[in-house]
Amino acid sequence: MSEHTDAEKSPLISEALEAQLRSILAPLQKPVTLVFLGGADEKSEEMRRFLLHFTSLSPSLLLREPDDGQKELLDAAFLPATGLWNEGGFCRAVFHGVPGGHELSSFVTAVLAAGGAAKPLDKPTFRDIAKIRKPVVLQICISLGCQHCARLVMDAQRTALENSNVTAHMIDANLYPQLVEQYEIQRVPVVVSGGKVLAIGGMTLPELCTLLRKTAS
Amino acid sequence: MSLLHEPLAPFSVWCYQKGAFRQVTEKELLGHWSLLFFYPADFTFVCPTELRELARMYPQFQAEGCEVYSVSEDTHFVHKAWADASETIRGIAYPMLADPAGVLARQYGVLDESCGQAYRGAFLLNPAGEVVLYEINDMGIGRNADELLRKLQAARFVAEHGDQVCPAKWHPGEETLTPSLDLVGML
Repeated sequence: MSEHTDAEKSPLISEALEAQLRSILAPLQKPVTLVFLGGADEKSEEMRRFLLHFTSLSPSLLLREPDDGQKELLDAAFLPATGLWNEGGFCRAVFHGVPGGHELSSFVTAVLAAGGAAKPLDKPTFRDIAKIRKPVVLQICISLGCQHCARLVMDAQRTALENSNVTAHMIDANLYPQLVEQYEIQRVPVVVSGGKVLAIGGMTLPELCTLLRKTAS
Repeated sequence: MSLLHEPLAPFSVWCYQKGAFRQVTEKELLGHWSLLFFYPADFTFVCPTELRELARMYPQFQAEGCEVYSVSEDTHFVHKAWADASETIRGIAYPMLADPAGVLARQYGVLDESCGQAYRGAFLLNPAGEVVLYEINDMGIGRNADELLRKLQAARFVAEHGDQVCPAKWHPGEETLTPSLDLVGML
């Protein structure tokens, strides 16, 4: 992908936010690659500009297009899709849509975790996450204005980063009417896996781990 | 003073339902959701419109686990006379409570003492008999049964899932919300 230029600054990242993000991203310990799969639609273009701008804010961030294997992992059914990779490979955290509103927090948190700069987990939480022993792919349907959603996305993607059995896709449901219709989504967050609604509403990280253990077993 | 979370007080009133009289006590309102729907008086004009709307949607309220009780300060005999005189009222399947002593209307603060009629109050009670939402309109202002059903669904949802959810209004094509960072406790 081309290098960031001033002309491609994203309107979503104001000067004040840019300065804040530079400071927040400074502690990144290792490179994080943001792999972006977009379409010809407006939101894909918006996300591409956002990522160009965002990745320009830290030398540890790279932006690239996916190879065929990565495309499969990103789930092209919901574009735009952005996945995180680090030196260990796929971090199993994917964002579908544009991380505006509260979801910028979850996006930044996932990038920090992928880059080894996240706050360490306490031992009980770490053990809780480790107990998820069977693969589970989550679709967390959210709305950008929902604070409960961002918190759940953060926890689910942190869980995914810590446990290779878990993959967490954040999906801005507003962009995908077929998803809203399929799962009759009127309130968010909604956690979907294997075509079934697992939970509606926010929950704590231990509650999420319990849910995932039940789902995966 | 708010009536939210107001517990159900003991009462015993007569009701008219589908051609029959029976007594209703507070015990009947427990164990399921209940809508108490006050209106000023039988044989008036705005009332039948509201009551008819509610009658039309009664199956939907029942499907949500909610019993509907209309309440006025008339006697159950007057309810029957109204049903006998009006096809609209005859079609009502939910119980019509008679509160001539004003017991219920006073408890829920909707009695106009000057004329002995009830304001247009709607009170949704949870299965424990506590008020979870209500609206009180002045005499001439009607209520919207669709909106009451929506509120019932919302109240049931919150009771089932807690308040860790956000209502979602889908507006395809709307602009992305301006990002905001809240990383308290995350760094």
